[in-house]
Amino acid sequence: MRMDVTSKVVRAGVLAWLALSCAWAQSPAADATTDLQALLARMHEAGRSRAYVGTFVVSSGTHLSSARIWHACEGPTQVERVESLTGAPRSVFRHNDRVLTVWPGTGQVRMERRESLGLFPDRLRTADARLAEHYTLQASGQIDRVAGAATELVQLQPRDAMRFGYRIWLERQSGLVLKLQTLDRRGQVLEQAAFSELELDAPLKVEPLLRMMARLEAEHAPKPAPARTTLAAEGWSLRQEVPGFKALGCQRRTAASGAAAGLHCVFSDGLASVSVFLEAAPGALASETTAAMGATHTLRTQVRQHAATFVGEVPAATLKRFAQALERRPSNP
Amino acid sequence: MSPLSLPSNEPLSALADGQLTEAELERVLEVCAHDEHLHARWRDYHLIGEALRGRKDLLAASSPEADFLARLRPALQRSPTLAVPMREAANQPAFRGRWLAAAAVLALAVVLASTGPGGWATDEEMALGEAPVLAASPHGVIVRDAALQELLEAHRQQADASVQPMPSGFLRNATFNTDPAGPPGQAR
Repeated sequence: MRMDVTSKVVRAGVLAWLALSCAWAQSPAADATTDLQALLARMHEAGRSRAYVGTFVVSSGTHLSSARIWHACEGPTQVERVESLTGAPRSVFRHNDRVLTVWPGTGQVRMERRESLGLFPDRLRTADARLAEHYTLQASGQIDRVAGAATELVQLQPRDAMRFGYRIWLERQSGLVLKLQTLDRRGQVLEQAAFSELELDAPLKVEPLLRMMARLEAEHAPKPAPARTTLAAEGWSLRQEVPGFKALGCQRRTAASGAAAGLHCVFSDGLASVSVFLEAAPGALASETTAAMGATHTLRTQVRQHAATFVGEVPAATLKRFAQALERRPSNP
Repeated sequence: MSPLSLPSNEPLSALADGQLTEAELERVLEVCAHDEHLHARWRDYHLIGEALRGRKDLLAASSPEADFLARLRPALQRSPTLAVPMREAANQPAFRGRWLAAAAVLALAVVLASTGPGGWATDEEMALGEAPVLAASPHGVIVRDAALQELLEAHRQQADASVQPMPSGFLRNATFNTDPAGPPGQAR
C-alpha cells in the first residue's frame, strides 16, 4: 500500500508547529514551503521530544567514526550524552544550551554555551521561510529499514550549485532522523550519518545524566561564555550575500590561554552551514589553499591583514563566493 | 582504490585482537571485502579467539562449548558482516551488546570501503591544484595543520548545535588525532 507521505508529513508538521506556538500564513502558492518547513519542524521536534539510546556512525570520505548517544527529555529540558567509540576517547554532555566536553585520556574538560549562535526553534522561524527557494522536497514513497526501524525516505534537491543535496530517512512514527546522506551534484554520497542501532523511547531519565554532568563540572572550572558580536561590529561585511546563506551570529574566539583568537561567524541556509574564521595575521598566507574531506570543504586566504578560513559542508565554489564577498572596512587595518 | 595484498596472517590476527589502528582497520577490511579466502580465515580466527578467551557471556548460552560453536558457525557464515572486538570492548563486561554494535558498524565499513566516494580530495580537485591537508601516518589519518584542525572542531560544534538534525558534527573526522597532547586549543 503506497502512502501519501507528503500529506502525512504536512499533518505531523502542522501539529508540531502548533506545539511550538508558531503562527504562519497559508496560501496555495506556499505549499512547497509548507511541506519543507513542516518536514524540518517534524525532524527537529522528534529529536527534542523523544528519548533514545543508540549507536551512531558517520562516514566521511574514507573515514568512519562512531559514537554512542543517549538522549533524555522532560518538558523543555534536553539532556544528551555522546561517547566516541572510535579515535581519541571523548564524551560530550549537553543540557539545553550548555555543553561539557571531556577527554578522559588527558583529563581535559571544556564547558561552553551555545545560545549565542541560535538554537531551535528561533532558527526555524527566521531562516527556513527561504528554504523552498533553495531546495525542493521529494517524498520517494519508499520505506526502508534503518537500525531495525521502518523509515520513510525523502530527498532534498538543491536548486543551485551553491549547496549539496540530502537523502533523509525518517522513522515513520516519530519523524526522528535515522539516516542522512549528503550528495553532490552527480548524486555521489559525500557523507553518511546513520544509526546502526537504536532504542527509541528508551526508559531514560534526565536526572542521572544531569548528575553525571554536574559531577564533572564541579571538578573543573568552566570557560567563560564567548562574547557575541557581529561582522559589522568587528569591521567586516559581505559586499554581496551568498544566495540562501544568512548570518546566524558571530562570537569572539579565545585561545586556551585566554588570549583573543579572532572571530567565528556562522552562516546557514537552513540545512548547510558555513563558518568564517578571521584572525589578524599580517602577510601570513601567500596564496589560497583548499582542502576537502567528505562533504566538508575548507578554504584559506588572506584578506588585508587577516587570515580568513572558510569551512562548510558546501561545494568549494560556495566558499570561494564567501571569500570574494568578504571585505574589510577601509578605516580598519 | 587499488587492492592491497596481505602477505601473512599477522594483520588478521591483530584485527582479531583489536590491536589495529583505525587506518589499518580500514585497509584490512577493504582487502577482506574482496577476498573470500581471507573472509573465511577471519571467521576461523574469530571463533578460535572467542574460545580461547573463554567468553562466558557468549559461551554460557549452552553448556558444551562445541555445541555453541556449532550453532555459531553457520550463523556467521550466513552473515555478510565481520565482527571485530573494539579495542576497549575486550575488557568490558557488556561485550555482547558491543559485538552487535561493532558488527553493524563494520558492515557499513565493508560496504563503504568497496563502494564509497574517493578519498580526501577528488581527482578533479587534485587536478585543480587543491592539496589535501590530511596525511596518513602510522597513527592513522591526521590533519597536518593543527590550526586548521582546531577550526574544523569549532565549526563542527556550532554547526551541530544550530543546523543539522543529527549530531554529525560531533563525529565528522579530523578529530582522529591520536596525539596524546590533548584536545585542540591546548597546544597554543
